[in-house]
Amino acid sequence: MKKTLLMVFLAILLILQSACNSDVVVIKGESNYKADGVTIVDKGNYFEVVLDFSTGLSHRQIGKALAEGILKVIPDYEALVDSYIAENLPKYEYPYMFYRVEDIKPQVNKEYIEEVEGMASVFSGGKDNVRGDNKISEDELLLFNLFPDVARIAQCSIVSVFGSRSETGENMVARNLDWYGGSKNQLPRIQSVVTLKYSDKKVYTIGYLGYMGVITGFNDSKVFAAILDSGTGEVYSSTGKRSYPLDIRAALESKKTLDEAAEYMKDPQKNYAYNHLIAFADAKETKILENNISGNGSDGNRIKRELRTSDSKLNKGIEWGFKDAIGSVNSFLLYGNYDNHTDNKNNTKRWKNMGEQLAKAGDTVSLEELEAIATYDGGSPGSFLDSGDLYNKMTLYTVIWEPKTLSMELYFHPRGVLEVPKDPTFEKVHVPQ
Amino acid sequence: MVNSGLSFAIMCITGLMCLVTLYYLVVVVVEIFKKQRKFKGDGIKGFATLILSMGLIGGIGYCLYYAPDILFLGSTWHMIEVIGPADLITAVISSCALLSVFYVYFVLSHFFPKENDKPFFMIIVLSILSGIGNSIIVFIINEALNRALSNNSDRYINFESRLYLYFLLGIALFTLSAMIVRKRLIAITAAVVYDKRVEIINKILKAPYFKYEALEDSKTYSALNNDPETVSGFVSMLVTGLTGIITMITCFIYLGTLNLYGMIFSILVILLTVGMFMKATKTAEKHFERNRDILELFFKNITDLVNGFKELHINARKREEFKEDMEKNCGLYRDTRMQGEYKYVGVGIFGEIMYFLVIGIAVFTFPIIFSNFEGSTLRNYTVVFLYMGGIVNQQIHIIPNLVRLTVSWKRIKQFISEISMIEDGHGPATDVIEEIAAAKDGQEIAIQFKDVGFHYKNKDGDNFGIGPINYEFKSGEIVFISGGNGSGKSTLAKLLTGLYKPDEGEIRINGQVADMKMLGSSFTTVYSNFYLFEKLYGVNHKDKQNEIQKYLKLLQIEDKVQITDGKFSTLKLSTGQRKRLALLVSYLEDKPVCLFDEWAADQDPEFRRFFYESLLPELRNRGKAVIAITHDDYYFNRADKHIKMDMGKISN
Repeated sequence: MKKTLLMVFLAILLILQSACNSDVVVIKGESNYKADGVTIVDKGNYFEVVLDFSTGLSHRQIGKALAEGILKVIPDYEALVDSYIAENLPKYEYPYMFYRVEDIKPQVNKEYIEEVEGMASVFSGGKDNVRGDNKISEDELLLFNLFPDVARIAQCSIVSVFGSRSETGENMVARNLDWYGGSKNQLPRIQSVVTLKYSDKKVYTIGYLGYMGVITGFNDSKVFAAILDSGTGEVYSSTGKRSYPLDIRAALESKKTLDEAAEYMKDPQKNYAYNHLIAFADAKETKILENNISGNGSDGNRIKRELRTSDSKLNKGIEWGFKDAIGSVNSFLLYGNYDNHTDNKNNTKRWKNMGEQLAKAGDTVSLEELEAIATYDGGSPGSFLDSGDLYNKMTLYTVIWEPKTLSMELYFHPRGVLEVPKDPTFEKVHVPQ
Repeated sequence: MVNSGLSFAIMCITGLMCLVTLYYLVVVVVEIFKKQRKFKGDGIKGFATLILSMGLIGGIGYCLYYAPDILFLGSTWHMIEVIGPADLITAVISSCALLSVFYVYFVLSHFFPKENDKPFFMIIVLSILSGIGNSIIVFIINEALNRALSNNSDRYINFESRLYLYFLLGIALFTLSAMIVRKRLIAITAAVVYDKRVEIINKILKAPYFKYEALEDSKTYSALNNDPETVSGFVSMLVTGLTGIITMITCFIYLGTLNLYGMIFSILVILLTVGMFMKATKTAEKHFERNRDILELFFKNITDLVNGFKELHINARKREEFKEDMEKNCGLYRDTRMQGEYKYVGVGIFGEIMYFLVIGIAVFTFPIIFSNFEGSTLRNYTVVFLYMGGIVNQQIHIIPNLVRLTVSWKRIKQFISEISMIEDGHGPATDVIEEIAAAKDGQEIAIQFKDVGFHYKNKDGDNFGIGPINYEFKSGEIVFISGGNGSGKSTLAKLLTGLYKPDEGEIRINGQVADMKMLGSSFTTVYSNFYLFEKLYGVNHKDKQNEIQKYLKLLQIEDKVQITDGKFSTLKLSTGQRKRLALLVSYLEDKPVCLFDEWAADQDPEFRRFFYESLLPELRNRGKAVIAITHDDYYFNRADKHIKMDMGKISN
């Protein structure tokens, strides 16, 4: 009798355990791919990719080779990206997103479009856009590349210490990417660190295979950029607008200083569909470009597209108070800018927690302390909107960037587990010099 | 549209309600097992109710299951878990639990009804659901507007996203809940009105005569007729009020999720309006109280009109003056009602203006006051305000009716309390009453007056009284009571029959001290101002068919009136014939003591002789104690004893 009871108990435990287990199936492909201009190495939890444009290959050719490599290392890549699009865009929105893409496409650098077209030529979707068919069409791939511009999904945070507050005296940047990763871990499955190698320049991006813009990236001139969403509730319009992640890539590819890159992005001629923030950093400091395209201000002032520094005056009621440190959640803070912070609890909670953790770290902050601040979760990562956790259930990766060595401490969401781990594991990543 | 705060609130409220519903469910189950509730399928109607309710529950379940997809534009539960609001999942689970438990409770209590059940809990929950349904309608209209305006390229978004399902759900929830609530409340209010009427009737019937006769008839009419009817209007007020309040609360919560300060500001303005209404109510209540007093006067006039129509018809001057009086009272009723209503006109219009003012302030100043007030939020605010406008006005205009209702309710309670205060709670032992009532032919009864005295206590300072009286009335005796007007004959008769309670001395029946009920149950009476009921109350008419026919013939009214199933075929008879009919009733009641007050006064000489020479002796011979108040000195010799009353005392 006792044995039977024990067996039943164990069986229940087993069922419960399997029910609670959030493991996802990972279809393994080849661990390495090498072709002219393209190298892909499976590093276990992410792919290390080098796209060598210095070989003389055209962007289209590189794109094609990249897609071929992607399919080798991730055989179900198309299904992953296609289902991710389907998950994020209900069928009644799906067709209209292509109108937005169509509006933005003419303003996108031709080379980038060629890369997408090159990749699409390898994928099986052709020209037919069918939602959820597990195939990637050319338009769908472009849509995936313009996701932050046409279907806002990004929510992030960033904190940086430099000067007297940095233990090393150098700038240190910690950046969280809070995106929805998909019900089948679609994004963690394709996470990558990509090196775009040109004859005179190298640009490094931390993003996703097949995504050619910059979500987080830096160049060999030690200019760092990362995007953060900042909504103002404005009515969406894509007419004549550009893609800001692709423009950041262009900025990193062409600019050598933080200010030049920021100037490039705040150019009045360049209009973007969504208001956003871009964290720019270099070896000395970090600044936040509050790129408020619509330009509605508060308190009778109007600030448009300005850089915020650690000692900038902020909107009424918003406190920072840290010299040689800067932080950002998803809100405009500059005095006179649109206040989408005060009434947004998600922003105010994370902002408060960021400040408290920074204060707790003391006057000087080490790399480990910065890592602890960026991964603050109040005990366990909560949901993005409510918890106020900097490291939360939506955090897909955390990058701690050290310009001094051009190296990163990198946490990527585990590929094979749906749930965000309680304690993120960082690994040192040295980008190819 | 659903944030974490709202989700948490939903979670807490539904969780709590779930526990309360569970309690009531257990109560219902226990009652079923105790057979206090019995199954009532209700045929096709019951089947339709079951199908309809299952359809609604299925609809709610479907909408809840697809809530992220429909309300959050194609989101999934996994997205909600990761992104938030985190409590939404728990809130939905808790709502589902509440829904399931409440549905089981609803089905069980519907198909296992309980007699005189007053399911207030169910009514409250359904009213809340109705209010929520009402609110869902406006929220979804807002959401649909937002989607239509922000996705200008997709004209079908509100259909393709299935948002219309929530709109339909809101309508279904509101309609069905309101329908059930109204039906239940109609039953409950009807029962409350019935209970109150029965309570008043019971109280009146238990009251001793000497106290009751001090009450104005019009007061009784108003308490039994007008006031319960006014109170019955409570149904619509409660349903409208409760649904409206719940709708307003949910609308305010919704506004709070859009902008907290805007919500607080709106609530303050509405509270101010309600405050002003309440202030006006205090003055208006005085007018309604006065109005209610005049209603009693009006009822008195009606009684006068009905009873004195003959006199009014004959005398033109009397008619004119009575008409003037009645017109005056009608006018007073009109004026006090108008004055009461006028008190609300000003504040009513002011309330409406205030409400529009809130909308105006929101539209013109919110974008200035709240720097981050988005255009869509302002639009949502305006739509909700406009939607709530009707509800707020509805709520405001309930207040005057509620005051009238309160006045009526107070009057009912006051009447019951007045009657209760004079209620004679010390009744004799039932067996004694039964023993006396059962005293038939041959059983002796003796009623002894020992130093009995009684004094009228009226406001006019009339201090007339009778006594001390010492006398004994016995079976087998005919006693005549005579005397001039105001000598105390009728007062003595009322003391005898237990209508009045002696102030001094005691009355004994067969040696035992008798109270009023005991005395009353010994007598059958025909007073000079007697009243004939349409039915033979208190008479076992089925066993007395032969006697009925015998007496109808004896009293020579067999061709004028018939008695079928204990009911007279007509009462439209001459005064003399009606008195004969009253005598017949008295015969049938067959009590040990018979009292006739000036019975023969309206009879022709032949019947007068028959009364004194045949009927009374026959009753005496049957062992009855016969007491007759009379002025017929020609027949005084027919009495065994004769009491002459003078100045409240027995003078012979």
